[in-house]
Amino acid sequence: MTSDLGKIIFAKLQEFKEETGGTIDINNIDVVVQSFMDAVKSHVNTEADVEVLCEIEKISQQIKDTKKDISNANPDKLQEDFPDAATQLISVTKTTEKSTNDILEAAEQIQAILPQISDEEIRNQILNKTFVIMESCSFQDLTGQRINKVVSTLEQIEKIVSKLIKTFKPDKNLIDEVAQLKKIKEQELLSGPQLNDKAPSQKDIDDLFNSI
Amino acid sequence: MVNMNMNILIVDDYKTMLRIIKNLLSQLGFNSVDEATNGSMALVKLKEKRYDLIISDWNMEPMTGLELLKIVRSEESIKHIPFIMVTAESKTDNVIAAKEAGVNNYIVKPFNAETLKAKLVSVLGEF
Repeated sequence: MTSDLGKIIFAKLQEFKEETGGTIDINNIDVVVQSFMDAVKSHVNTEADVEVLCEIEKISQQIKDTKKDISNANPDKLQEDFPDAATQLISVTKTTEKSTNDILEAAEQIQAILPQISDEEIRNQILNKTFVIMESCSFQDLTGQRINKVVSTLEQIEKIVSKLIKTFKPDKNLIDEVAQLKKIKEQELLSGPQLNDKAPSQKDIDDLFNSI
Repeated sequence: MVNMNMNILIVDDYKTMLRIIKNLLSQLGFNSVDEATNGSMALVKLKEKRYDLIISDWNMEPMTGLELLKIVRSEESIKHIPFIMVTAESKTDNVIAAKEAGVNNYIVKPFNAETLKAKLVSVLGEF
């Protein structure tokens, strides 16, 4: 970018700042960017200048596309879709809970008939296998916890996106809410069952516990 | 000498987990096991009956297992009861917080029967 184009861009930005008091209405941002581009186009002289202008044009097009997508989104349908997603997830938890209980019931019935087996070694082998079944069933607790966290986050996202779509006019409160959402996503999804590649083993926990 | 007739209270908001822990305790020989699905219910039961061991989850609402532990440790009549946390919370800060609050041992989910027995032995003695 030539130093001339750089000075022109800077001057234009100062001009906008003075005209708008430093803030731009989000509904007009695409118009502002377009007028900015029109103003600097005539000062493009080098290949580097052309590249800069192309990048600004891409940004302008992305803003227009995003504004169009948000305007076209139907807030009423969104208010159906989000709760529907949450309901589906809760239904997954209920279905897995029922299946888990069926498996546990079967394992308990196997344990109940074990005394009828005279061979102690076989009895113990079968008993140990029922333990493995039960231990595996504890997945339902962990999946339930993960799903609850997703549902909770979905509910919060729904509130903020609904507001955004309806107004497309972010005010300070909405900007704060978006920032809070980012914070929620960072914090809330960090606790609870950790993902397998990050989860410490019982031995890691024991070592830590005994060191305190 | 461990009293196999001891009263154990298990606390978890997932009924399948309560069922699993109860079954494992039964297989180990502990058959006097009561259940609570949240901290408040656990406190009610602790007032109604004498318990010798509490095994509790952490992530429950409105009262977490950590909050239950702190209340138990603050009440003269029940503060002596051994408390084992069984939870998916596995971060260092969690373990430290639980130990500082007075937990006797800490089991991270998912766990197996062998781990449960080992922690019971560490808290109660050999059986």
